Amino acid sequence: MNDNVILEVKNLKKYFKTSSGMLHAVDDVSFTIERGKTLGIVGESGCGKTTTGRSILRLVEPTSGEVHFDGVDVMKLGRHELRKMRQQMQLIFQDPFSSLNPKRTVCQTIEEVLKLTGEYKNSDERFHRVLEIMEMVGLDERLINAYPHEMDGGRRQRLGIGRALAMKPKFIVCDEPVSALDVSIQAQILNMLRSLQNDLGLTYIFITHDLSVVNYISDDIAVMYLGRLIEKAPTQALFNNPLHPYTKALLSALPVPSLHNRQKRILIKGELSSPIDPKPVCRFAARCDHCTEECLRGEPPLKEVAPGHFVSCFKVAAEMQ
Amino acid sequence: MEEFTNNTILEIENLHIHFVSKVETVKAINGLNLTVHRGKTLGLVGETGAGKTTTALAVLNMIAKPQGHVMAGKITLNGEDILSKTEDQMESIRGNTVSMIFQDPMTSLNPVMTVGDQIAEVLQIHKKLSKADAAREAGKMLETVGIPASRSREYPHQFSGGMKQRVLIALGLACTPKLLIADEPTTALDVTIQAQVLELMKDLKDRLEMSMLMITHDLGIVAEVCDEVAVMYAGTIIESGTLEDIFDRKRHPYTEGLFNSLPDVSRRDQSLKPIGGQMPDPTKLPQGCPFHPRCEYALPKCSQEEPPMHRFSDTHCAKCWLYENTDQCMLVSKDYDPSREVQE
Repeated sequence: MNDNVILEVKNLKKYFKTSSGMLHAVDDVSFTIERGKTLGIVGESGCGKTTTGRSILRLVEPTSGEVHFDGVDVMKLGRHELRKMRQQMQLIFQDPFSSLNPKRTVCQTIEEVLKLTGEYKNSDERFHRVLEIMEMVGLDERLINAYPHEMDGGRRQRLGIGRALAMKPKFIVCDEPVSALDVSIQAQILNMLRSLQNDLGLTYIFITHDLSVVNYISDDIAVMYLGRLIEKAPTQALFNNPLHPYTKALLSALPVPSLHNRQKRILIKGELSSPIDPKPVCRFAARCDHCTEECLRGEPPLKEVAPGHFVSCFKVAAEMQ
Repeated sequence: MEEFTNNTILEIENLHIHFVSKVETVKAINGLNLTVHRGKTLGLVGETGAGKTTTALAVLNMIAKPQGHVMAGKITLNGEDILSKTEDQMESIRGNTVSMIFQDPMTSLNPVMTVGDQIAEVLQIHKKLSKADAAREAGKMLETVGIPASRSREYPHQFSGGMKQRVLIALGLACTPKLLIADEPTTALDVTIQAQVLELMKDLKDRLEMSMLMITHDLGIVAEVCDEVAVMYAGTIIESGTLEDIFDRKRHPYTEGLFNSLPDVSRRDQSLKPIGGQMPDPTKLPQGCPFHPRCEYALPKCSQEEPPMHRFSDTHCAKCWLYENTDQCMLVSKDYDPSREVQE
């Protein structure tokens, strides 16, 4: 394995049993992330992006697949080792209100994590570290005894980030961390995540449905559709030259806050088909304008059609040959 | 007066709304002025807590009592003074003259009634149709929004989010109102579905010759569907104008801040320039201009006196002391392009 690669995910699958059949939430997803980089995972609700993030941390137990983090096979770790490993792999949640304990103050929330690390034995040291973390995430010192309900959404999210950083992780899965925030606050948090990455050398998986946000924060972008990874490319390449028909439609559907250089929208018909026991055909076929017989015969594999640019589409793969 | 009713569907003048509880008074709306022209779509833009939804509810005369108090102001809808109407009179205005689409399609539909019956109920009450006629008409309404009439006997839980939003649109349009208020109609939807719904709303607005008040926090949507824009902050309009006025000739520091906070797809290396601080607490609004504590252009005067509305043109105005003695743009926005100024 390349030394620069911090995380390698291979053939990750997560199926959920439901009364009407197997729900394929994540279906055969593979990718790698380099140290200090950000991989954005985009897609619409139900495409499996959150489940992917959680499977990597084994917060949901994957059905099959491999996850290598820093050379360690995460899937093979026992309970105790996994706990240790998770110090380096943290998660930031979408809704900072429901993911914080309402009965704990800022200080208690961060201190709890510090106690778990076992690194700070005496309370003075710990307190000092709490203040340090608060400063890192831009929380004013006067808020040290504030409860989550006394803070607004932006500050709560800062606390959520601070709690994740307290473990001194190398890798953070950010699951829609700014979706619940107003734009002016969203911008503050995004800038902060970027500078924290630079200062601490963090690696992110950034899960979001907001394409302009993912464009701003990511080095590479993976697009998911119904549990499959359908396109992955460096950010610039994906935005300038999207190849998969779904990615094209997704990018064109983004409302642009400008009156100039407006693009024609590609409207895709219909809605997501069911993720329960999907047929072994291209999952986008039913909504795709370029669907051919080949697309209904089997699932298109993810192919590298240009350096670093992967796409899973028969038509594109044939054209790029 | 004649001219007024011809051009304007909705006029709000100097509206003040307070919510009073035992411990504190929330000043939600503070001297709001707003005009929606006939056949046009006005985008009402602002962050959480700016008072956008309260404004919409005031137009429907639905401010929650007993806490909510309209302290002053006048709302004229289609030539009628809304705030002087009785509840009975309002019943006939709601639905027929004005109707509203709410933000959350998951919670705004009755879960134990078929969608067909929900639309038919509106028609029976407001248009006095018979049960059979109403059911037929409801089926037609569903077809209009792209749902097969055969699904009218299904319940909301059988529909996806995008479909539910279409049902809400059908409900709002059932009596072909003159003004449709849409409160964040696509916020809960995915982008591709959002694109479908916005396209549908634009199309229906033209076909049914309606006017629309579109409440949103998304400037992308504004650029997509609106003709005019009003930017709201702490219960008052701080800048308003045509799409071009606001997107290409913005004047107010808050409007500039909103735009600078948005990640620009074509300029990803640029760091975002967020507005510092938070929205003011509506129980303790700052003296003077409500934006001054967060404003990087603030003058000493801004913390003392509320700025007047400055007119730049027939369509464009902004509430800011920077323009006390000048019409020139005082902002140093990254979007500022002097060549566009000349083309005016």
